Amino acid sequence: MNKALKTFLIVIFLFSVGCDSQDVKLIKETRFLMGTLFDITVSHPDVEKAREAIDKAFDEIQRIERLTSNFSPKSEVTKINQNAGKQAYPVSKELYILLQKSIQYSQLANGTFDITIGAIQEFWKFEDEKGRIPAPKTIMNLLPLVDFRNVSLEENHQVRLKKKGMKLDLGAVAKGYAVDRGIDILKKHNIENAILNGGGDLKSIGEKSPGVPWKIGLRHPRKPSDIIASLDGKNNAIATSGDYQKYFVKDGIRYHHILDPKTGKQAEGLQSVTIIAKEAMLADAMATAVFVMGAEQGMKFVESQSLLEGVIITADGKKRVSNNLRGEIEFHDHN
Amino acid sequence: MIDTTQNTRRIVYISLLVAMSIVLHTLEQMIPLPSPWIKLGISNIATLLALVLLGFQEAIIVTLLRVLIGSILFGTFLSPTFMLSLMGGISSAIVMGLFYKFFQRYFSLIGISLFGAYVHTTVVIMLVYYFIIHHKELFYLLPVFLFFSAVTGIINGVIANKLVTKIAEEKGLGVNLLQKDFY
Amino acid sequence: MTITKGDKILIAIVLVVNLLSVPFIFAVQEEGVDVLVEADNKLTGKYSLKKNQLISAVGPLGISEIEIKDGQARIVQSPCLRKVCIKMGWIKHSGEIAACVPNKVVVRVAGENLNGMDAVVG
Repeated sequence: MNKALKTFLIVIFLFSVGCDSQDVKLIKETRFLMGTLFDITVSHPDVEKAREAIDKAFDEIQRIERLTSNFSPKSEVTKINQNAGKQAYPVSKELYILLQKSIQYSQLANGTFDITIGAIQEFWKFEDEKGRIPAPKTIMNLLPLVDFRNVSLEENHQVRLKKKGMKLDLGAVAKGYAVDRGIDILKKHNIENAILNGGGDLKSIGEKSPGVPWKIGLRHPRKPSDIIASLDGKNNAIATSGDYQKYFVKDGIRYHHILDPKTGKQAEGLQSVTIIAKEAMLADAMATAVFVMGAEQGMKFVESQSLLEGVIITADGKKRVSNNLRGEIEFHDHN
Repeated sequence: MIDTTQNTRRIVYISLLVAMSIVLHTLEQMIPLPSPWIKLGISNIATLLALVLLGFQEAIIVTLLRVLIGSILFGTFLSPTFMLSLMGGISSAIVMGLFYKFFQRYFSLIGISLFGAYVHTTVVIMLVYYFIIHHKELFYLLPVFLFFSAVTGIINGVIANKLVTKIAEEKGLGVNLLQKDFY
Repeated sequence: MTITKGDKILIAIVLVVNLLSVPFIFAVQEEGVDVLVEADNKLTGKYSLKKNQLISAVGPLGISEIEIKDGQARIVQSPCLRKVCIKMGWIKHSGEIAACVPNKVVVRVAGENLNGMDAVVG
């Protein structure tokens, strides 16, 4: 009886415990950069190699922060801004190409996305808790300074802002670009499975573990710790522009950071726009653009672009999903 | 020399048990469960009966046929569910057969059925882990699955016990002599 | 056949093993990894539970102070009247929350996954 009992104990124990596979590990790191939290999650069997790659990726993001900053007095963008209405300023090839792309995006989006929004953007002071509401007259005076067509990209990588007072603000593309570059660095270090998430713009490559895709959640615009929808990462980029990301409230009205370049004021009508594209920089820019376009025009635009898919959540909480995305996205709150 | 009468009896009994197994399986499908891979397994009562009344081989045959025919009937033939059922069922039947053969003295069909249930669940979870959800988190569910299997395993065993006792009574034989009686 | 002694012992063992594994599962699953601090419904920071630190969260009433120590977090100081948030004590498991409602400060423990997600946009 005892021998049998022992056998049973072993058998039961074996069956109850099950097996565990240690071949794939998840390495995660978070750093505060570009005014927001950047998360890098890597799935890789070698923890050391993963950490090294993550380090290099963060270095790269920091470099992009310096490149695209319009605060730091030494940055190329600040120098361009200082020379507005005066002369052209020579910049690095990288920044030149970045600006070129941004202008192409502006053309594609018909001016709903514009990196020259800087002049008006800084007046609103979104980084300040209290913010500042420009007087209508101020906006009227500043509006002529917002026009991407007045950015002259000249030879030898020279950039000239044609009117005095014009200011470049790369806020709508910088994070996306940083994410793209960060992923490039990870790939260069032989990382094939990762997510790089920079304050609402992310890009994923590979999967969490063999057969298990990365699960990406879309933040609920009104319940920040909840997810409104989720989808699988498919080696693409996802970016969200929302009225809840950066804002201040005055006299009961919410003033959020997404401005319409044509009016100089908040783009109305939507809670959030999420765009899926191959590159984070494109997704980032288009998320802003579509937000400004509004629900109708915005969705039409997304459907007209084969390279874009998107989700639009309107002010009343209703959701619109582009056709090809319908089967891929799963909504968590049932409205 | 193959005794034709005995063969016919054997085929008839197996068929009856398979039919019973399929009916039980169908009934069980009507009960909603939290997970798509774990079943209550009341069709195993037929396997147990086959084991006691006919023998090891026949128990395996009954299980095999139940899974095959059941999958054809439900349209899941050759699907992943079918594979899981098959692997789980066969390993479960083999283990039950072996335990019945060697440990009959210590366990009634309750214990045997419990072993079978555990083996079935464990095999299915392992297969799901390797081929479907390669996720450590899956094993956090193991205790839940095992608990449910244990419950049905015990219930099956109790029912099987009663059935077998009834049959033995009617024949006026001890349970362990039922097989000999058959052959 | 009737139930045997062996059956009963087996059932007892199975029950025990099953019951024993349950708390193990909860303990492993629930351990928190980070602390998310929200002020006025906006995420102001994400801090590791592994690093002992003091965090200030600014709300309409003033500054609520959060302490992370030995893998746990709590609100230690807050400008509210009843100090309910401080009485909430230490939190360490995924999903647990300590909040100063008058000051609109929420401290929550996040596990590896936010609602089971690997990353969240927005």
